[in-house]
Amino acid sequence: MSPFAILFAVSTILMNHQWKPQERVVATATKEAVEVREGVNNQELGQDLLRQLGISGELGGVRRLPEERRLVVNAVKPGRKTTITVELDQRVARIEHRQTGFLDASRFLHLTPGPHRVRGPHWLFTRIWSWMADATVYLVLFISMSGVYMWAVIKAERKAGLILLGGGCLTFAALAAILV
Amino acid sequence: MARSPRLQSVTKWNWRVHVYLGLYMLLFLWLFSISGLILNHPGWFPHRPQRTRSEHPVRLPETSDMQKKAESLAKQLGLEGETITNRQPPGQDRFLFRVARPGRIWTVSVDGKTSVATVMTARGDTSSLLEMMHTFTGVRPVWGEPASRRDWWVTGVWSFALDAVSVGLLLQVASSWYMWYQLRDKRRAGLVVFASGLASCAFFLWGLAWIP
Repeated sequence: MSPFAILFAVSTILMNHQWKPQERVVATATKEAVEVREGVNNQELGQDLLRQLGISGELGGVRRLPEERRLVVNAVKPGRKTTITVELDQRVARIEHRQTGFLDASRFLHLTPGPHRVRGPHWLFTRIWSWMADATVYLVLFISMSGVYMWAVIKAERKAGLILLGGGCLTFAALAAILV
Repeated sequence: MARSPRLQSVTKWNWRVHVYLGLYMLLFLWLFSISGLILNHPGWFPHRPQRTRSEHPVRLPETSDMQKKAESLAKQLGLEGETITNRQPPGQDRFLFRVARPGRIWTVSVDGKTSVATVMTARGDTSSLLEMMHTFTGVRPVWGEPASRRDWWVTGVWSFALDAVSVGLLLQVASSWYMWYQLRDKRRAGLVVFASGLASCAFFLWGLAWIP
């Protein structure tokens, strides 16, 4: 699990310092005769469009722009963002693929699946990732508990360890007290 | 073959760094692990914040700087936290801002004519408190501020703690690699496990972009 721990640690530092990814357009395409379903919610509409256009990834958002007679759908996957703009009158979809790089991929994975979602994740691979992220947490908890046990059985190291454990608890309590 | 005294010393210190650092960071690691799990499963603990409303007379500061205005009003109202000044109501003589800290968010609406501040307090439960501690950096794009900055000194301290825990975790990983490498009979099995972990992590980081 160490590569996953590194991923979470590095992406934390990136997000904590407002790192912004450098995006570049890597491909564009146009598709005609796109079917835009009516009477469905944004989630279903977005998923249907991704299916029609053969685009994979997690649905990032659907914006309906009725005045401009346009629909904008985003699909996201680690290191890549796809924006689909559908001209509703012409039923034409303009597709733009952007590469965001490895660091943004780590940020995306850190934030996935995350709290602000209706249901999902929908894409198979983000669903698998969410299990991996959970597994990383369970392993961190297990490893830290077993580490505490292994330290506790070494009598010679107890005193120093207790001082540091106490120091950590005090630091945590002091920070929590001023923060909350 | 006997190890050199220098290697023995490095091994001993590496072990101490691993154990002592781990013990010091234990609560932080548990906080971020458990809150990460809660964030990934919003259905497990549905949030039911307690909301209260109160009104207070205030003195409107004479400045056009929204951040300074919000900070001055928050001080008068005794509110401490990150001040967020985006989303002003258009065409109204009202000034709107929020003050956030883990567990509590105050939404303040100040009437420019009457100088009365209406304060809506949302107090979260334990799970939302943990979630906010996990994500509280003061520079989150989700707050929609044009120029995100930490304006509460405590956020700066917490943000430093986030960096420190991340660096500490990287050190834990590096020291565990060293300890594993010292165990000759476990090298092969460890290498297989490490390579599979690395391959699966790399697949998610790089591989998914190439899936059609």
